[in-house]
Amino acid sequence: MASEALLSVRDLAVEFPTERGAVTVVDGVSFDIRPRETLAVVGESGSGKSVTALSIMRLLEYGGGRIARGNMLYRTRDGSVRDLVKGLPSDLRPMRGDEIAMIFQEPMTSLNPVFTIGDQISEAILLHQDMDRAAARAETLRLLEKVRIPEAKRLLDVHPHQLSGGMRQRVMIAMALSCRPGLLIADEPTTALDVTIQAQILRLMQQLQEEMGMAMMFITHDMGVVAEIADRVVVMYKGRKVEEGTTEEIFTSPQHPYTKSLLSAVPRLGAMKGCSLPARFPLVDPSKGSAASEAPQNTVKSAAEPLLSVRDLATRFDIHKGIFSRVVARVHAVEQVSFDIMPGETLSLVGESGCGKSTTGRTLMQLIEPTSGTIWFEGRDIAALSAAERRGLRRKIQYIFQDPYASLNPRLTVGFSIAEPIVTHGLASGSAVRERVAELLSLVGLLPEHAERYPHEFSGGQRQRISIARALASDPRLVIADESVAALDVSIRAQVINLLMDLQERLGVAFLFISHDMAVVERISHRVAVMYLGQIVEIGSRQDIFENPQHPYTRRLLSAVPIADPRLRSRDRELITGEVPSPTRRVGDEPIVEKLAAVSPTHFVAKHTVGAY
Amino acid sequence: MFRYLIHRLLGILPVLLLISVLVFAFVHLLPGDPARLVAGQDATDRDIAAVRAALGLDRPLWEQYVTYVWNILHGDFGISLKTRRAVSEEIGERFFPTLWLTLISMVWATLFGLVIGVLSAVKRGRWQDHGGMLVAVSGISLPSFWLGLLLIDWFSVRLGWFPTSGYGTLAHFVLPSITLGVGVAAVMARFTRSSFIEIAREDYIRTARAKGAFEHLVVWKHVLRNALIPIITMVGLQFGFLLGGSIVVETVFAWPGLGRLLVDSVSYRDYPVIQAEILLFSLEFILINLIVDVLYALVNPEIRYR
Amino acid sequence: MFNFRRLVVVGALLLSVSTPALAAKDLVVGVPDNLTGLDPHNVNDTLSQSASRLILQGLFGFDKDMKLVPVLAESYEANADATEFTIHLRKNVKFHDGTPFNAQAVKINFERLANPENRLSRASLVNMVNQFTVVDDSTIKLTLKEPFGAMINNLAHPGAMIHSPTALEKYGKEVNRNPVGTGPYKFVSWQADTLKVAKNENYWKQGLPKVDSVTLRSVPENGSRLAMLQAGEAQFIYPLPPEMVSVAEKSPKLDIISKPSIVTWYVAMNNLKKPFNDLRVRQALNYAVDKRAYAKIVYNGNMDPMDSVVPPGLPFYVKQGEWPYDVAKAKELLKEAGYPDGFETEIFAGNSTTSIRAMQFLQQQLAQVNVKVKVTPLEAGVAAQKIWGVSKPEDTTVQLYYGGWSASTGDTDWQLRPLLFGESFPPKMFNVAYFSNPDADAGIKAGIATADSGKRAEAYKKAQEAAWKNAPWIYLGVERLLAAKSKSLAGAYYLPDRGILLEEAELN
Repeated sequence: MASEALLSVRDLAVEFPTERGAVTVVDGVSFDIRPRETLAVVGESGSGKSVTALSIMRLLEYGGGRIARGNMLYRTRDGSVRDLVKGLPSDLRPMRGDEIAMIFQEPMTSLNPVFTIGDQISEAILLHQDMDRAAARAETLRLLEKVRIPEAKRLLDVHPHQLSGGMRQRVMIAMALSCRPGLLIADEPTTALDVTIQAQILRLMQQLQEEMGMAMMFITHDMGVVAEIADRVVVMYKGRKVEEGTTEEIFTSPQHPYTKSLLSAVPRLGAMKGCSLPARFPLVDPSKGSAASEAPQNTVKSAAEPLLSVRDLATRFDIHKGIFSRVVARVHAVEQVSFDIMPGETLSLVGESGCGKSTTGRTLMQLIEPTSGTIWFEGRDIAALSAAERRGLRRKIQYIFQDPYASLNPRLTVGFSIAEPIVTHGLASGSAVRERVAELLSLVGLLPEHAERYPHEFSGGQRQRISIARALASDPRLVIADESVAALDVSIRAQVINLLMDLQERLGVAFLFISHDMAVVERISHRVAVMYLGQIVEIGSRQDIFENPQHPYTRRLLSAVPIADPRLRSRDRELITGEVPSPTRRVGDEPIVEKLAAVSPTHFVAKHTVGAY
Repeated sequence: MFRYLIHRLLGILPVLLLISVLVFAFVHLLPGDPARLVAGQDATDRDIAAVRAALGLDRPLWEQYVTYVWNILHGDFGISLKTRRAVSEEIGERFFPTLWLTLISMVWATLFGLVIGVLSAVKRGRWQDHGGMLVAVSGISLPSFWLGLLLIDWFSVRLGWFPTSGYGTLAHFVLPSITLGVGVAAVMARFTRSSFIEIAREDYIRTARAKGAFEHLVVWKHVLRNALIPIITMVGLQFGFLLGGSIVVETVFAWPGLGRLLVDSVSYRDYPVIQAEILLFSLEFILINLIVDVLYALVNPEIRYR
Repeated sequence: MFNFRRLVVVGALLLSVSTPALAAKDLVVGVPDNLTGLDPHNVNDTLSQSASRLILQGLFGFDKDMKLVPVLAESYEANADATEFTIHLRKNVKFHDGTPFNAQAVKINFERLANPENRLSRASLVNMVNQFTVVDDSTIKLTLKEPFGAMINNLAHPGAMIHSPTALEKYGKEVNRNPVGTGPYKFVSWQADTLKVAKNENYWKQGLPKVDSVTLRSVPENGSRLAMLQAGEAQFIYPLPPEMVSVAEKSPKLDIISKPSIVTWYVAMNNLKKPFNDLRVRQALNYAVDKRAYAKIVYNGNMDPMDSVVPPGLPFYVKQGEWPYDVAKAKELLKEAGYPDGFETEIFAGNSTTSIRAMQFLQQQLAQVNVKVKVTPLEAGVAAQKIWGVSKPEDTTVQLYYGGWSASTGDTDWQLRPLLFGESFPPKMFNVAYFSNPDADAGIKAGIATADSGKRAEAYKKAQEAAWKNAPWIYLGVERLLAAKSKSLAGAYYLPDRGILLEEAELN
């Protein structure tokens, strides 16, 4: 083993036995991690990066996998070198949590719901350190303070469900660091978090790493995060390491076509600076390495009447409690929201979880009854429509969900699913239906014969294409896309976004694009509305929002986005501390809502106080 | 928690009243004249009329019901038509045999089922799993009637270890509680296994291993504690069913319990006994539900704080 | 696992402690049902009657062959038209509580039984008596409202047994759970399904009883009951289901008791309804059923063919000859009656497995003569309503009814009058054949109008002849009773009416 390495992985191969023989998911991967260094392992889902991490912990076997060959030499605290591949998974138990610790992607599910935070952290301490319960508890408190948890003392006796995702991830970090491990493996630790919280956690991890002098293996698919945190990068693709280098090298001169395509698919905040119109991703084909064109998206019919006009829309949910089900509080999910969408326009609603962006979409879709406000579609107040007209409306406004699997019936062929709205709305009959389905499938880049298959036979990206085809089947004027690309891998995400823009160009359809991903929004939107605590705090053209943000929340949101450019790492960033506030308020405690002030004819911003940021 | 309990307990009263109406109505809608059955097969018309008058069966239904509820509130569940004893005595005499049998059966079956289930889950796909589940499936599919007779034949007639039937010493409990518990143990084993496997896939179990917890700690602390949540419901449900008295087991082992009383009283149209038994079963179910909810809150903090 | 093993060990220990107690002369009897009460004046089932017979006694009773014998009476005289009965009582008999048995005690008991206000279910046994007169301490005279020849038989019925008047006074209705009598055993306890009685040391019959205690335990499941006997926990069990005879036979320690009962099985045909109102049809159906096959298939052979409407076990039985199995003749008769292609009908019966098996057998048999039978098992409550509760004969839906009967008084009257008397249509009594024949009616009436055995025999002979040839029923058979006992037990008898007699029981 290289003398300076902490961990030296050589020729690692991992397979999963299946009924049709063993499937190799990691094949001949080698890399080193040096002490105090942060190694980022990047790749898309299925690239084998998480499996590699689980192999190092020998947690792989508990999930049914098997190390087929290779070795992993680890230098322990006392200086001896140990091959992690040797012995049973259980032999490695004393090292887990002590020498090598790990944190996971899903903070919401990674803590045991039935034990208190204090107990779970103390358990890790008691397992590896010679301490009594009282001392372990005191140490736990110290650790919670160390991960900057306010009211750490109170948290000791609290159960996980009482904490937000960000807090839980801090708890996980505290637990992982409890025995001062030499290596911390972090498997997508911030992916499930809101962008401002992600920024906090990344910063915290960097600080703790410096303080404790440990090495970090950081697994992620987000090149922004890589640029932000990594010293060196290993790129994995289909179970193999395709490239390795310093972060600078990878970002400035990627060698492997896959790395190139990955970088080309990464939306970089600020990449669109100076462009007034949205543009497609200049995608690189991973097999060839050549880029596609980056044509501007000029589809808005600005002289026309607005397709959709929303005025003072409010949606609130009552919270009942007690024997008589009194209303004790209200969730002010959407508060006095107003905006227009022109034909052929893409308006993005951005904000963090709980800001009301999805509720707005669902209210427009008539899945939720609004509390007040009016919605005009094609110049008509939809509240005044007859039942038949409402049905027609449902044809003209379509919805694409985040999880395509959930919106497709697994027992029906995709052809059937796509044909359903066509038949229901009487848009075609007989063989014309089949033709229309074939046409839609080719429109979204699939083959007509795919109509005969079932949803499980497709990949995530293909399924999202199918749901887009289904949404387009009824010839809508407006498509509400609610986080519809959030679950997709970077390169797939870019492809789907390019597809949406193609479709807009060809069909003139308008999009209400709901997303938390600022970089994607920058690329796709004509106009952007920033939501916070149920209100729109700033609305304007894409350029207004990204190049001239007025509202402090918009600025913080933008500054929290990791930028996929390691050169910008040391920039001075305003960090938002604390949690995303809750839109739940006591009865009678109404939020302040005022009209937005005009910055320019297209750009409006809230001047009144909307919560704390 | 205390207010919650009071609230739940008060909520039981209207439910019980409703049940008493339903039970009363249901029993009187059954075909057949109870007076004729009470009077016996070779009774004359006059005998039957006498019996009918004696039992108040000739009065209007609503009057019978009002009297019934009034008496219940005074702890009087009426007189058995068949034995002419107070129903409370009839049921009191049979309640404890059924209760003890149920308790003993539930305790061993739950523990046994839990252990088998956990072992099968831990050794998933290996022979211990296949063996455990084979036993469980057999346990579910064994008719308790057949099993009971088989056990009697082996352990009582051939080996003479236990009495064939009846109620009395601890020895009398062995065979019936095995017969009664086998099905429960099997259901528990299967349920525990699937619940356990499901929990074992959770992210927080991986977390427990990642912090270096011993495997037995992972299994018996982290997984089981979570798997217990659905298991408690299952135990409560099974317990409720068994408390009604297993008709088959009580018949095979001549157990003087509620199940046999119910069969006897139904075939005899012994209205007061049927009514009281159903009322009792409902009360038992409601109480068990309450206990399950409380236990649930104890093991599941998410409910406790709601 | 560990707990379970310990439980087994503890259980085995407990059992070994309790075993020696069983070695005393304690007789345990496994019975099929729970007792319903111990006040014979107010119980209807043979089992409860048998149980009270351990403790209580009547003036008359039946011996092991169902022959009427005096018990607490020594003799009696009756007048010619059966309206006055003078009964001489046994002297120097005491109840278990020390109360002397005398004419006053008998009077108190019978008046209690007869009083309609007491609403006792067995009131009809003595309610034809106008007056009970205490002639002297050991003589009582019964004066009847109308002639009733079967009076002594009624008094021999378990329903007319005598309680201690002190106990009646003390317990009132609760005498049901605290019986005090003159019988061979004293009441000890009755809980849920177990009755315990202990030897009456001062029993008036010398040398009896010979066992220290008797326990009746209700074990409803046939297999468990037999297991109990095999394991030595019981010395006598009944009934023994026919299919278990072969198992019991294998055990060298067991005896099987098989004897004719007075239980008759038949199909009542509704004589008022077409096509059964035609004698030829009723005869044809009797020819169409193979009674021996019926005995074999439904009762595993534990049945004798019926050769009169009265079973041989009852007094005044006169053999009428067997009805042969003759399909050709049956077809011919149906043709004559105008049913050359048969007809469709429906049969009712209880819903026990045996009943259903019997109905299915009959369905197959009658299909051979093109009579299509729909089998309808009825649950007891439904049967009570559909069959026994119908107030007008023309309203009944009964066409064929399969059932059995046992004359609980042990007298021919209770075989004929409830079942075949013209005034006994439901709901009054159980003449579900709706059979009414002047000759039979006259015989039944005459038989009850006298206490003279010769005259009664004559009357019942006529009644039996008239009924038999008119074929109101398809005559199926007389059941044999099956019980099993330990070879160590003697003097325990299973009676033709399914009762048991344990007075002389002896364990060796």
